[in-house]
Amino acid sequence: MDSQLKKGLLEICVLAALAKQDSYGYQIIKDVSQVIEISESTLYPILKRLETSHDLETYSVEHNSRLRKYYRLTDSGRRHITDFLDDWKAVVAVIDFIKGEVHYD
Amino acid sequence: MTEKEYLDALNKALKWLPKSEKDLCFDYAREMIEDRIENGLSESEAVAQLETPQQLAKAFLEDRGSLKFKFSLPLNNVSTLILLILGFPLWGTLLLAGLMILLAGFLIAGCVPFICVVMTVSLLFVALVSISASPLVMASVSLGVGILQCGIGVIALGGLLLTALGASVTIPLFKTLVINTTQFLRSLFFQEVKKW
Repeated sequence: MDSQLKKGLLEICVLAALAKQDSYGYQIIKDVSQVIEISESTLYPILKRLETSHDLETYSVEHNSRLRKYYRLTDSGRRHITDFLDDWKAVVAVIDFIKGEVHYD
Repeated sequence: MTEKEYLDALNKALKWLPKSEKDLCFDYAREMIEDRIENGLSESEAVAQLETPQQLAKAFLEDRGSLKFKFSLPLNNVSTLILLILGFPLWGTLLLAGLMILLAGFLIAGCVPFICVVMTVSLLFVALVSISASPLVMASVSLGVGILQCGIGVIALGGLLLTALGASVTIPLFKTLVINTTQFLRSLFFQEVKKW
């Protein structure tokens, strides 16, 4: 997969992993890697970027006598996901057009 | 590799980062290892699942953005370029002098830990030789000289403790001095361009 495309998809996947409930680093990796490959070094900059753009917030919870960092989706993050899905509808239409033209089906 | 070895290696690879940023990366990596252990993996398995500390450090460092030279020199302008070349004897020597003063400062500051280390090694030698040879001197020369020899050894041992203490205090101080000075100099000429 094209690296730019993958980067964009990963970002939305991370946001989506937080849509149902707040989560922490390792859980996010486990959830997202079911559909797309993600490593610690890829996740870290994504989390940082999403935090800077206020798409998610962080807080720490004491867990087994250590602190675990949790991430929470913000309203802006939710909007980010819906915007992506809307954009994607247009992309799907383009893909359908391409497929129709080159008779791949 | 144990968790501690992994985190130590990561710490080493991130040594140039400011402490607050380093702590963030460090906590992130530690949490990833500990969550895996909690999930039923052994310590070595958990560490083996992660990328190497160097790969992780590289990702952290790349994420920081890049350094940009602060001053914009109109190098495409021919007259500025000529002035810059003609002025080189002036600004070049001043720059060189500044660098030399800085180097001299580092050398002077570095002398203290260096002397401490050298003294520690040589006093260790003196103490070992004096104390181990004193029974021989007592037997072959005279009791008085032998006791004196042993005393010198004990004094050297005391001095050794002091210089070793001195070295352990001054080496980290010197390291901090060098790191802080280079960071300050870097901040004079370069600014960080944040990626996000």
